[in-house]
Amino acid sequence: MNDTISTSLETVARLGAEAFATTALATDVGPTLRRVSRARVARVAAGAVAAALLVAAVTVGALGFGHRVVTPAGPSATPSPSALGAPVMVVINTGDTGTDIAHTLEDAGVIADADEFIAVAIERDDQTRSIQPGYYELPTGMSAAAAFDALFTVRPTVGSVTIPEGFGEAQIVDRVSQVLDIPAADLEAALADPEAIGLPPEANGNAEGWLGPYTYRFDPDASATEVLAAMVDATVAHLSEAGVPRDQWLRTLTIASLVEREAKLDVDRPKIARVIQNRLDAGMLLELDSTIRYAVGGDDSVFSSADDRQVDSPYNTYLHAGLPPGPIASPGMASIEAAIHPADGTWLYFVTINLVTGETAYATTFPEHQANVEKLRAWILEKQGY
Amino acid sequence: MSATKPWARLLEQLVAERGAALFGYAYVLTGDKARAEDLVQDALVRTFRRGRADQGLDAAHAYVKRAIATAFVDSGRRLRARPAISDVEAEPVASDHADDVALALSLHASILTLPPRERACVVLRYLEDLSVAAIAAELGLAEGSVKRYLSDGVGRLRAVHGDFGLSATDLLTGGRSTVPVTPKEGRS
Repeated sequence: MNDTISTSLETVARLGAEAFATTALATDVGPTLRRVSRARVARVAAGAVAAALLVAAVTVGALGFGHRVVTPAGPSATPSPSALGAPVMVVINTGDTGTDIAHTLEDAGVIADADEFIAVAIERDDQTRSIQPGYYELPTGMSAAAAFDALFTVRPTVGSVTIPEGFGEAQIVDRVSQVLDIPAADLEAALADPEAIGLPPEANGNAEGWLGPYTYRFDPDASATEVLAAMVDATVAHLSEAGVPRDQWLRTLTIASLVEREAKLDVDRPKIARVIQNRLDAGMLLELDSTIRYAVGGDDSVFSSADDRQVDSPYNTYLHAGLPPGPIASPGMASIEAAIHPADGTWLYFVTINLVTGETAYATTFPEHQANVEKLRAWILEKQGY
Repeated sequence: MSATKPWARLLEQLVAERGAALFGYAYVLTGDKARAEDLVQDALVRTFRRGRADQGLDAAHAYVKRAIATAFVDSGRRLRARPAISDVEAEPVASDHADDVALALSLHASILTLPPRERACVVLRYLEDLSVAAIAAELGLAEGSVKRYLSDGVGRLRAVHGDFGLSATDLLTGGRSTVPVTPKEGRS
């Protein structure tokens, strides 16, 4: 009888089981589901590529055979330099451990024995941690050590996408759809579920402005929701790191988006932020053409027509006092910084007086401003045909 | 979060109904809650990403248990510096009047000093009541290796705890052939 040790181990198992309720896993199985989901999609993709390559290999093999039939066999055929087989595509996902990678490689036929790879991965732990996620095209039949090295010499293809500053939601959907090959409909569906993409309540369910204009790397199998969540997360992280209090997030981002769309040069961002602030403080209409462009939709024109300015939209700052209800574009870091720290000044007006250089003139009084507008007219006259 | 795919529903059900048991099992192996949680999560991912578990709750439970054990043995390979077993004198194990929990924890502490393979074999033999053949299958080891790990492991435990009712013959010949996954009704 082994009652003592058995009973003791059962006691420990029971004590452990009682602690399960306190784990993240017991509280939310979502992250685990997502990890499985990613791995499943990746496997399907890798399987499809492997199958395609297998077909190719079989075809080439048949041709090779025919070729040999008509070629007289030489006395000493050059031995094959290696026993490597047809290359296959494998997917390394973010968060894959050395063990995960080993099994992926074994399943794909790149290596024969996952255990050998695991031993190498443990031996070279620091390097293992720096393996980049992505698609790797690797030959089959490699040794564990060679496969490990190959993960550093073979350049993986990854999903990398850059969102320029000032892009709007629709432009971002287009860009992501093209670069990452995610259907636009999927992205729009994901945008319709603010909670899933991690949009904070402050956004009032509207992702416009909250998709950070940065460069991202994604796993090959990243979903629309994951991509958009990363972009929202980047903006929220940036606001938090910049020390913006949560109740100021929407306001800061909205002002920053106006600055982003109005300013061409970095030097003007804090000044334009100051003008916006001064006009708000003075109870003046903002009268920003960028908000008309947003309300009307359409091109990136600098100017708005008299008709456009009548557009019935809460974003029309010629008709409605105060800030628009939310951001009009994704502001970059410089614009967010300007919104947090506007320049000192008493200006209430600004106008770009050189459309090529973006040189902008500021004014505190309306007559001063009119003089600046004249400078713009003069510049345009001078550059007729611009 | 409500899952729609069959595998996702099964995973949720498994975590809800068997999560505590799986975690307890991993805790016996690791003696550390954070590592136990990682182990269970990794085992779930490893099992479900291949569709191995899509055959019902008990099958899934058995696969995840196996994944926990193998992942634990794998993880052991990266533990370079294994804690050496202490040289303390063997203490006589008081039988009926001992504080069961204190005894269990003390015994567990000793088991945690065993190298991962020995530890896994001892746990599978005594917690799971598996035979040598079943342990070998579960961990992917040769039967001869399992016998050696069991003998060495139990030998080390004896050095600390004395003879706690272990029979050397039973150690290598007893045990059942399948992994239990349903809650135990009590031991004979």
